[in-house]
Amino acid sequence: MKRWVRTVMLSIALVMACGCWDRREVNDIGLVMGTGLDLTEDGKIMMTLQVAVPSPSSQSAGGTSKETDNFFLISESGKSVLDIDQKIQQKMSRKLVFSHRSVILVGESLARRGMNDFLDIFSRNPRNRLRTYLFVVKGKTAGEMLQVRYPYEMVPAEALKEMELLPGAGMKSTLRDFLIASAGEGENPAVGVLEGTEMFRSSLKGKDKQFRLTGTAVFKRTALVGFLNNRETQQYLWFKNNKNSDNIVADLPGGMGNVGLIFRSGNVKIDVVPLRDDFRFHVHVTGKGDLMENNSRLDVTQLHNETMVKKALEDQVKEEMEAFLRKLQHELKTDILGFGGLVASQYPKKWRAVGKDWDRYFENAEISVSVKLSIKNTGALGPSLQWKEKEIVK
Amino acid sequence: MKIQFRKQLSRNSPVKVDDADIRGEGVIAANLEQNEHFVRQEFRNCSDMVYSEISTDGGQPKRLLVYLGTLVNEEKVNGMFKTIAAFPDTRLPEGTESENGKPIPVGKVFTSSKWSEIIRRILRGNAVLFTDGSDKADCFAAENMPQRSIEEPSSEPSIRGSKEGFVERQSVNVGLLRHYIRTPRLKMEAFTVGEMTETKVLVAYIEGLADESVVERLRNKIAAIRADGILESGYIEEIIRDDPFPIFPIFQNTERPDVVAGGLLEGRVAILVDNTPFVILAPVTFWSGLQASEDYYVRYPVASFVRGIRLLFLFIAVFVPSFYVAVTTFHQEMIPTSLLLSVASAREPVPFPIVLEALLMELMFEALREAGVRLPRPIGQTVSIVGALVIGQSAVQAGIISAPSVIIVSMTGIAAFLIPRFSFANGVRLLRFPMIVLAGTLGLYGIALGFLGILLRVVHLKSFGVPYFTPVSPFSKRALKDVFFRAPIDGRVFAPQYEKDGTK
Repeated sequence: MKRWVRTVMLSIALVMACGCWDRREVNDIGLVMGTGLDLTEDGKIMMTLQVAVPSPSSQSAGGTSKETDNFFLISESGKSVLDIDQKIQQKMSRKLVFSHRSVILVGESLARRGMNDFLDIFSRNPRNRLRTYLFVVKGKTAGEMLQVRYPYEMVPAEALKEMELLPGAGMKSTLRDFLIASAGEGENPAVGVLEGTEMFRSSLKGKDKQFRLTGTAVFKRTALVGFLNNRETQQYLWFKNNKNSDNIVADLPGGMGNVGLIFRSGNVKIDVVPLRDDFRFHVHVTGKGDLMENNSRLDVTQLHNETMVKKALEDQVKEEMEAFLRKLQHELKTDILGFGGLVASQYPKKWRAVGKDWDRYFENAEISVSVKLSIKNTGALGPSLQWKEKEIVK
Repeated sequence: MKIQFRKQLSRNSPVKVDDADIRGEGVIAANLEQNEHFVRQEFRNCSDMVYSEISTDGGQPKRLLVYLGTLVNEEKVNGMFKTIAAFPDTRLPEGTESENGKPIPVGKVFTSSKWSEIIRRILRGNAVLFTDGSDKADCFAAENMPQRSIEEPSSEPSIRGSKEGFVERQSVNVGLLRHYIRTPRLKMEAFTVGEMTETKVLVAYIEGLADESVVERLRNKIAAIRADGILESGYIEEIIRDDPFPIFPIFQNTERPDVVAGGLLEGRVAILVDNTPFVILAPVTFWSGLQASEDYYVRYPVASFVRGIRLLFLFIAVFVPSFYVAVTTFHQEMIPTSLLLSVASAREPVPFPIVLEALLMELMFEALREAGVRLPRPIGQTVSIVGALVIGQSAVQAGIISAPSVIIVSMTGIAAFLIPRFSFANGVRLLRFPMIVLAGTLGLYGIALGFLGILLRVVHLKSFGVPYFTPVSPFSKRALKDVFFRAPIDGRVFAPQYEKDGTK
């Protein structure tokens, strides 16, 4: 019994003596939900943090029910992120915790200068998440964007994360994706773009600021070189195997009207054909989808009509894809699709020769596109319901 | 408590003085007056002792009937009186036999000349007849057994199954068991334990099913008990345990005859103690703590589901409060962001650290539970109202305790109630507190340590030679099918859980 008592006392002492030192109560931490990074005029980095304010819920308010903000912003400028972190911490009564940060916004000017100046700390510090979403802010500073209130979520950064999680919302890129693409052979990163917009209030006259996802920011290594619009972004998503809810609309030949398709899945296969001092790529696009709109007199359940519709849709995809690739090759001049990576893995010897100068080879490469779609479902109807029997094209 | 009790008994014991006389093989004398004097001396100040002389028509030897008036059945004694008076003859009539040479047809008769035996008989409710000139006394069984009627066991109610519960009289309990198991292989070995209480203890088992080594072990242990008094089967449990620090019970106690019968058929040994409705079963395993007799009375998919739920809530009962504490004080990054935000908002007005909050609430819950158990039923309801309103709601509204803590504590409270064996649940409830302290000081690392400690303890424990964690460790695939699931009943229902493969 005495032995027992001694053991218990000892273990209590042990636990008490060496435990607790890294205890952090929930109400002693400041939860950083989002970070915005901008370039100041004197070339320094301006960092803005969106910090959540956990406000007591209404039932435990204890009398006074005043409308409090659920977040506040705190910003500081400096040489590096660590430097700024320290300055910001001096303004905070609670320890900043970055583990729950869901988005990092980068202002356009800073992105154009290059991400190398600040990217390291976001991956070196283990308290950061590599699954943080990365955005480039277009037209505004990242700090301004973090000020925008979002009606659904307590903290707007959460709304950004949720928007990213929606299928088909657009470009989806995390810190991890960015780092992989940037470090990969023959590949360049691309991230989502955030733009300011407006929203009407329901009750009062006037408008509120809003944000929306618009396309893709294209990088060469770690510096921003240009933007893709929403339509072009959808082409990019073919290559990212993320084609799950794009809608395309194609005109039917002979002014018969148009048809719309929702993609359910899509796949891209790229054949590499090395020429003597050039490359030829062949892009095979295959996709599956459901016919969702039919603004014509066609009875799409008829096989020949379906074939025609399919042809029109395939042509549409091909056209868009070719335009997209042209823009990449000749306007942005950056290989975000990983053509170079394919060459590197399939023809490593050749890659050694061309790798350093890949951007030029990519610009001159000949890329052809072939599209094969299959329509899995035409909906409950053959022709649209409003047509008289004799008007329907069987 | 136990020591105090013992002291008290020995201080007030009137028998103490003549102890040597009784324990020594004192023999009664052939003189009635001498015997009467001795009995009166022994039972001095015992106001319920009755001495009644049986008057005869002279010439007959004088006779004295003594008994404890509070233990005997008056009607029986009166009848006895008449019969004895009607047989004044000391001679033996033809065809009848009596050990004392006197034919007295009044039920069970036992004749003895040893004082120790005679006094024991008197204390067991016998009426003892002394005859002048005889050095033997006749003891008549005349005891009146005050007896509660057989009711539904209040500690283990069931929806389906027998509503009979054991009572305080051992003979009734044995009868109940014999109603379940009608085989002469059901053995009842009797022991008398306790110097003062002389409590009857029966070791029951089915010959051929029970492991002889377990029976032998229990037999020896019970025979070796030296105690002043045994008031409840819990005393036996505590005295014959192997385990110095019994958090997990190595016995099962039950008020239900069907549970005991089931246990006996599984090859377990039952210990029936007089004056308590609680019968002990041994050996037990960890998993039997999660099984209820009703599991076998309902359809097996339902029973299996319920067993799964119990196992899940066993984990919840032990680990959820500590996990909550660890994650919110050390590992905030493990909580989904929106959940963390709501926890943080709820905690904002609370002045205590989460560990303290959790410990306070758990203690409060235990206090409420204990108060509810001990208090008379009408007041018990008041306690629960006060508990629910004051602790539950007001504390949260006042911002002293956060709502998530209340939720966690109520959840674990309910979880502990899901464990069907009361003694097992008590042990589990106890484990929460060291776990919370560990979690509050060392975080998840502490929980891992605590879990390891519990596991080591459980795996190390043995219940009368049977490893506590059987059949998971040591592993037995065949026995395993009736542990996490309730296997469908086929020909042989009662496969012992701890049976070694191929030994039977």
